[in-house]
Amino acid sequence: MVNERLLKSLINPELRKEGKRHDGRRRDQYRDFEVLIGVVERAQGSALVRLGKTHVLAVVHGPYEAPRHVALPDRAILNVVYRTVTYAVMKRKKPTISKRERELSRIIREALEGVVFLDRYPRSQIDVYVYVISSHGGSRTTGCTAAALALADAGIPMKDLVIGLAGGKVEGHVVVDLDDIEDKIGDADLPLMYLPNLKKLSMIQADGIFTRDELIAAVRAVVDRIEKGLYPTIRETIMRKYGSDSDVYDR
Amino acid sequence: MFTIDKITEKRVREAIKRGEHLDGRDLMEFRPIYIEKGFSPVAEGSALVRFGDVRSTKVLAGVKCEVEAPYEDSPDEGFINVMVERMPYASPFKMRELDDEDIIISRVVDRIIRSSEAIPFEELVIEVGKHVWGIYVEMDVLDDFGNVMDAAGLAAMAALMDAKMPIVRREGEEIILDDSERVPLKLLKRPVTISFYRIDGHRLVDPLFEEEHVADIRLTFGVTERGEICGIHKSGPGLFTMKEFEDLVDNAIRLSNYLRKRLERILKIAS
Repeated sequence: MVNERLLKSLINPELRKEGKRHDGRRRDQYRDFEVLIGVVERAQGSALVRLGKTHVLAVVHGPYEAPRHVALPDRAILNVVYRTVTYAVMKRKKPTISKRERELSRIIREALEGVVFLDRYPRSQIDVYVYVISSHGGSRTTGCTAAALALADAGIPMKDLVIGLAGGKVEGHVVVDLDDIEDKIGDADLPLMYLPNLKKLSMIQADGIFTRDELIAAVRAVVDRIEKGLYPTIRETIMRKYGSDSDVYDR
Repeated sequence: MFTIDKITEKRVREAIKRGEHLDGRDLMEFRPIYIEKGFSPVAEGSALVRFGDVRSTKVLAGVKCEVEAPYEDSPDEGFINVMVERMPYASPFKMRELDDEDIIISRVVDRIIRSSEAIPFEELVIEVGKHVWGIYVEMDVLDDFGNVMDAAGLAAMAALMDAKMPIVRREGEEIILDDSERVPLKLLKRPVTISFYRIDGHRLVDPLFEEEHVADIRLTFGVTERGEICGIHKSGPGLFTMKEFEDLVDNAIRLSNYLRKRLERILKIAS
């Protein structure tokens, strides 16, 4: 039902002349960002992350004793379930698990596995449920941020936080944080998940064509926004809930 | 149904005997109710309903409106579909999949909204026999701290009251949805769901999780603003007399006004 040309024609030419995007953002500007921790009281840990109209809720249960046939002798199993609720998307989503949901469950699990100290909990299991409650572009990266924050809220030891943000290419320009419309009219999409203290990437995907320089520029732009934008906001939220700013986090 | 441990059960029974909930409320008093609409901005309508300040029951409801083929037995009517699902670990007992209780709550809320005639189904037709509006009300329970039934009933109505439908245009055979302009979903009535529980012969509303699972009866009423009863459902093994029932009907009508006021007031502030 989406007509690419129609979407493009809707973009205000004035904005385009000023080098701005369809919603008035600068090219390196991400959408309104907000983090809430501990929203689900039954869970050991939870977080709601909002990036523009994309809202993702993550819930952590565990560690608990894993069923014997799946338990590992030297570490915990990390079980990630990514789901989009039926009303989170423009066209109602069928309630059955889609291939996309399976892929993203795995992507987020792999982005977190290297960061969580799973060897602290042999024969255990940790469940992470990632629920997209409103989807408007960037749900996998926002989901990863929410999952990492929920794990932190659950008090599970981790090397670092994992923060996701997408870059991409729209109308030939490198931009940060594509929304749903830019996802459709854009040329390329580049979701990243990044460890802000260790300065390492834990996941990268790309969809579309980049030149080498564009790719490097996009990755740098996204990392820059995570380090200077998202991470300080998240850190402040955690500090507000869990204590003073002079703590171990400074090291 | 499963059981609560004996010590908690004793605490519940003692509190009820004193004439109060575990948190000190009167038996016929609700926890504070908070409704936040537009919680899922991509949905046509949505609302988050919370019962209580801490350890609160939270239900997130979303409405999607889709152009669908009508049911064969009602080609000239749109339809509604209500679904409630408790998220895993929303309740202390693992529920990875839909269980009976979720289905019961879905069915009861669905029936109450449908039979209240709140939604004019005959106006939700685009072309008789071919295209009608299907209204999907889907709810996720984030935390179950008791009385999901009433919270879900309220959340469903709040989300429907928040819902704005796209406009339909025809171009020949093709149907085009215009998202740029939206109209509020027409609602003729505002039914609310209200449940009474019974523990040791005392009746109460809005139980906490522990109380809910000690109760031997849950009797749920749907009540419209005109004081009409538009749905009844009984759960649990308990028996009750005609007098008890009549008494509950009167109480349902009285308390439903309180719930409806919450619904109307909060939606007004937010918009």
